[in-house]
Amino acid sequence: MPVSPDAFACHEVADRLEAFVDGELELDAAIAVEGHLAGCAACREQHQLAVAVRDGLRMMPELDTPGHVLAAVRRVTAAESAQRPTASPRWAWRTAAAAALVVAAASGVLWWHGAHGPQPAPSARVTEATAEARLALRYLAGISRRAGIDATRAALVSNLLEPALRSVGRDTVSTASQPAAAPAAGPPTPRAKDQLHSDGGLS
Amino acid sequence: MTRIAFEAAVTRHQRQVFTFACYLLGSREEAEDVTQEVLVRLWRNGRLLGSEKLGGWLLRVTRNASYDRLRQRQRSAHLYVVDGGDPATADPPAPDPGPEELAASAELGRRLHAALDALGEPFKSIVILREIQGLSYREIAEVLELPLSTVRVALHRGRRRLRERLGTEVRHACVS
Repeated sequence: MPVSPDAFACHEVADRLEAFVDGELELDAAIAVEGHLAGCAACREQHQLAVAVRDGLRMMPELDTPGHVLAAVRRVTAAESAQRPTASPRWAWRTAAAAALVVAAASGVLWWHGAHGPQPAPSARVTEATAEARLALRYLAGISRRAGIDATRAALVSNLLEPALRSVGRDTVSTASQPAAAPAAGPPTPRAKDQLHSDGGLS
Repeated sequence: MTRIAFEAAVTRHQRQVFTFACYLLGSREEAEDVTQEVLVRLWRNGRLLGSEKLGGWLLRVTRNASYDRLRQRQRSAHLYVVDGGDPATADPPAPDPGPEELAASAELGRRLHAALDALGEPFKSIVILREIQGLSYREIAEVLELPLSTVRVALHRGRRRLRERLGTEVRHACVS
């Protein structure tokens, strides 16, 4: 609804002055405020004050933290850093070991299916085991990061994934581009075997 | 949080934290204490936050820590800070410069500082974050966990209260 230029009384202009100064009034209302200001000295004075307040606030400086405060922060955080154990927390290693077991178990499933007949396409169980192994590796990487272990992807691949794949005669990450070798005909690693149920499922 | 990430975060956010604390507290010394406290908390908790949430978190923590300080200050000094302040108990204005001279920036700055110091929440935080620190309405809404429309309205109301307080001081000065 259009607003007439004479629509606002002084108190209504006062309610809208800050929005008017910021250019946030709708056009009709802005025109009405302007019209009122043209004829009202008291409101013009308030408008000047509103502009002065806004501009005065915007001139107030941002402030840099004094150097001695930052130095104190660095001292405190360095002391806390020094108190943290250099070895990872026990819980992190336990979780890492648990994740490694999951990887080994998944590898065991892969061996089982490899040693018990041709399997050109991965079965649902193998797919599931592979997914679980990947999940375990991601979780392990996250745990390692939070514990401050510098466990890069390369380290996890070389120390966990590749030995597990070799143990079941599968291509490792580094040999993936080469033609697949025949699976090694040998017994599974004791750990992987222990994890298997008679139907080859995971424990 | 790694040392490198922490130092990068401090470099990026220290000015915002210290500025906010200074204007909230009106005391540089107390702002230094609060800033140190907030940055140490960043070291302890920063790894739990994504970098995009860090700025908002820091400003929230700064605000809470500053108001903890203010409550301690009030308890010890038996001061009672009300929204808008009480002109009867505020420092008397300087001898009248007159309305036209009030626009002189130094005098305005002094009066504006005093008026801002007496402004209540959430107006004070919003005015500081918007007008001094240049945050957008959306950023302020995220920091203070308020609806966008509330931020806009509160900003204008906060500035109106500052205007009215400055106008009152001018009238008192003119009458005396």
